[in-house]
Amino acid sequence: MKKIFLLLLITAFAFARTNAQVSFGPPTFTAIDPVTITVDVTGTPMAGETEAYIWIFSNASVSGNAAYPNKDGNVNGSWGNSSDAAKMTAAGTNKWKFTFTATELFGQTPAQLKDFGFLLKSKTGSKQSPDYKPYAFEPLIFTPTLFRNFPAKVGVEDVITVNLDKSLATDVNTSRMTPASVTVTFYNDGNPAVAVGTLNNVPVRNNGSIWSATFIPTQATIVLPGGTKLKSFKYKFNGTILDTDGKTSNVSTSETEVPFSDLK
Amino acid sequence: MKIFRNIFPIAVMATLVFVNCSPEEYDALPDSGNVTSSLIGNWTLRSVIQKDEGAEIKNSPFVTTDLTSIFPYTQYKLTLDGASGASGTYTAVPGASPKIIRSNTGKWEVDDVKNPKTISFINGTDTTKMQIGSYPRSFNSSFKLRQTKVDLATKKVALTYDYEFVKQ
Repeated sequence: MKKIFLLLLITAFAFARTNAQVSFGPPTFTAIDPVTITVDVTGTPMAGETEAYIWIFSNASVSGNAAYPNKDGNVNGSWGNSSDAAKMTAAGTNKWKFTFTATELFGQTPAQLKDFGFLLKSKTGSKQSPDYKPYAFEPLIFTPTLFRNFPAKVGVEDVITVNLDKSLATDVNTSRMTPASVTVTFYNDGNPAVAVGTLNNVPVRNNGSIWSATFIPTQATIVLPGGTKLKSFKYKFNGTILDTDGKTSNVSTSETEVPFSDLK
Repeated sequence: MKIFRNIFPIAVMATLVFVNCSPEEYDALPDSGNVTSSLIGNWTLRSVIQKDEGAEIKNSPFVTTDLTSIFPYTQYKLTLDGASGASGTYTAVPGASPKIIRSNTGKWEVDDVKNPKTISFINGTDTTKMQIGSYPRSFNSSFKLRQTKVDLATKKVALTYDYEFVKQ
């Protein structure tokens, strides 16, 4: 029993260590999103190398499945002579990073891409890291949510619509409330971010269970301190419910934060 | 003789059919050089459609939003002045509508005077660039502009705005 416990402990430690060596930006991504891999090769044969090349392959968790063909990245080159396009960028001691978009790198459609794996190697293949795999792509499907902003990516000059789908509410107040307005609070790019302006009483409209409010940050009637760069905004829906005595009470939903994208 | 009587009408009809199958002549296409001059005049914004370019591929039911009635966009008026060249001056009067061009006055110019694809509204260092979607014609006195927003992080088009203007 002690041996089994020790074995499980070692295995768990090994997995935890493997996961800790690889990180992604953004943390989750679809096959059509650009993603940056950062990997720490400390403790592997690639430790101490002055340059590293990626060897990347699609659908690492499946083999011989026609729905998910296995393909090498188009930057790989040959094992004995990696291409320059596979060269990774230094990101600190024993740390390397590489940015790619899966559909472009593998020449496959999103439907053909389930996950991927990779390893780091020297240009000639004389040294290599262990395989890092599999890392799954987020599915390309629409998932209804309680809060949703339209469009999904917004800049400070854009028309932004925030939505509340009451049919998806899990708390009593939100599911019973009659929305009347939205409050939007803008945050700057400081660390920590500071609230620099609030837009109150943005009118709402509804279409079935979905309540919406629309605003344009740079054309809203808020006064921002000079030189302010907006990083995100938070919004909440305000409304009323009838309590057990039949009296009207004011309620608000929780706040949801939306980052601004740099759109041009 | 009987055979000749049967064949003769058929031969006459066939001849008529062949004679009438000559190529039809069409008028020449309008001179594309008039496209730029057709933009000059006073215009009123008729509709604004916003599209999330990332929504379709995710099979989202929410791909476009008609913003025309959400804000008073139809109050927006745009005057394009100038000769039939590749540039001129513009004046925008938003009224209560949100601005769709950052500066209300300035210079406009197109990328190609004969076959314009983009129009730029310029005021000093501030430029709003839009694609020309359709030109005004005698049978359709409206034109469309498309503003494309690219996500600088991904270099992909994130959203677009389609503006349709009608002659005042």
